[in-house]
Amino acid sequence: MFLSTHGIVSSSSEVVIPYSNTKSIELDGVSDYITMGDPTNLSFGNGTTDSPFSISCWFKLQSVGATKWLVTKRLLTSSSASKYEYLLYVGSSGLVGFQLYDANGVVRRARKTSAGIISADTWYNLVGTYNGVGGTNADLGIKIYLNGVRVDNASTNNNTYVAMHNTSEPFKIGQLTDGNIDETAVFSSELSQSEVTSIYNSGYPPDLSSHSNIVSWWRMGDNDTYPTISDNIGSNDGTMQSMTSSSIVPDVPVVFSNTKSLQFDGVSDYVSALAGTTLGGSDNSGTITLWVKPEDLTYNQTLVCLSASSKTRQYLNIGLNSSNGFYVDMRINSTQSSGFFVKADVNPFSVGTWTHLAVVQDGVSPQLYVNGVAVAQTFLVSTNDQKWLNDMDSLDSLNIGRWFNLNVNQNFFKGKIDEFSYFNYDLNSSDIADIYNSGEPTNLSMYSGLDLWYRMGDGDSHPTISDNAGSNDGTMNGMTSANIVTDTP
Amino acid sequence: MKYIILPIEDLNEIEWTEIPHHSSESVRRSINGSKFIIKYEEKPSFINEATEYSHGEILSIVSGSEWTEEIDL
Repeated sequence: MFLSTHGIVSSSSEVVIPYSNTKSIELDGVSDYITMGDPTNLSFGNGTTDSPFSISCWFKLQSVGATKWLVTKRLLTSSSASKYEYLLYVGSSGLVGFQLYDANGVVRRARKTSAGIISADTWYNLVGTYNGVGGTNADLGIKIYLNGVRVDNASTNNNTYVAMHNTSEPFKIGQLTDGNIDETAVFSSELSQSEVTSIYNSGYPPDLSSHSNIVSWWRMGDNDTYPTISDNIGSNDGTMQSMTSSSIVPDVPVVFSNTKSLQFDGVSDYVSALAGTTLGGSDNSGTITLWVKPEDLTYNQTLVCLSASSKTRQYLNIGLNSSNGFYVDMRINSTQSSGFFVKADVNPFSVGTWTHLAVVQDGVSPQLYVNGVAVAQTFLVSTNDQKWLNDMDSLDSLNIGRWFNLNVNQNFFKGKIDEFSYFNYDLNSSDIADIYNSGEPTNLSMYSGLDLWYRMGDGDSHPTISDNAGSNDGTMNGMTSANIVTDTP
Repeated sequence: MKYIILPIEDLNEIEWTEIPHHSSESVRRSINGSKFIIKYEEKPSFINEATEYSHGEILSIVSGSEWTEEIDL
């Protein structure tokens, strides 16, 4: 649907000028914003009925902790609800929200929000859509997508919403926002999931010039001359407020890339991290995903071990061996019957081939996934299938590439591991398929409940393996910077 | 990369800045705890004499019962 290039025809010959995005607008979160005035085609209600519309913007915050008004047509103060129309925002907890106002003298609001999922210093694509339904169920017509994934999980109305009014309040971008905003657009339709996916475009803002129902598109620096932010579709040019030309900066969304993995020698290499007791979450559900490329299938190897390191046989091992292939061994004391042992019916591994693995525990029974698909599996031990990390007495240790438990330090993995993640809930089969992404590792930052995400080389500097979901960094042991290799799925 | 096996008594003699292991806690030890493994690109100054093993050789060694315990799955 979207063009990767933008054709410009000159008088002498046809010249295709590549579409590029090299600039964004940096705002101070204090007094900076961009105003487009009060164009009629940026209002979507007449006081009686609403019409559908959608807003897309890319943003990167310097901090999370105060509400950021990314895109709005709402008076900043609460003194006059008669100047409220809509607001796309990041809340103080890092949630994203999209809310509509019926400016009928009191605040009548329809709103959808997400969980707290925004981190500082990360580019995101946020899209809010509304089907124009209006009335007391207007909130149910709202959807919010972050990086192409629908994220709204809470819905509220207060007072009795009827419809937005076409007020005199200006349309604004970036009010109270400390950070960068790029490629912002308004559409006079409710964007579909496929359209939102195309706009996210795997993390690379696309050319929107040919999109249907697009009303305005501000490149936010590209093709702009201070203080004007040009509308590349219509005539709703904006003006930078309290900013200078230096607010147009060469900082743009970065395409997600995966160019590194970690090489393990099968002798003494491993990555270790603390695994606090909170990693298991409040219930016995969770999901582990990773990519592996084994180099030897003849002996028993541990890919991931989460353990209470000082307790006898308290661990969750994800491993491979010649007899069982892909297996998960979970136990909470010295008897195997304290947990479960499940293996894939078909050994998915072959030497020198990348394979994506996922283990999903829904609190009842684990399910193994290979390359995005739930596989047939057999329980060799099935006494306590519901066990998970929070059933251990004192989970404290995460090891990637070895089995580590009281008096056990072996089964070192030989091969490569990439993109390890832990989620504190059970992802569904669609999520696992999305993460597999037809064999190409993808950005996990938009998923809620992501407790650990080790890129395994990308963005890492020996000996630290950064936790891209939080601050629980891992450490490379027995390894050098040469163990960060350019071999990826 | 070369690998050597040292007696556990030598653990306190290791100069950790010369090898890609971080501490005595991070090395691989034998099942009975009497030996440990370190590796290096260039021979560290604190090593006088020790048998160096290639990657393939050490893999064969650690697959034995001295380094890998048969534990029921």
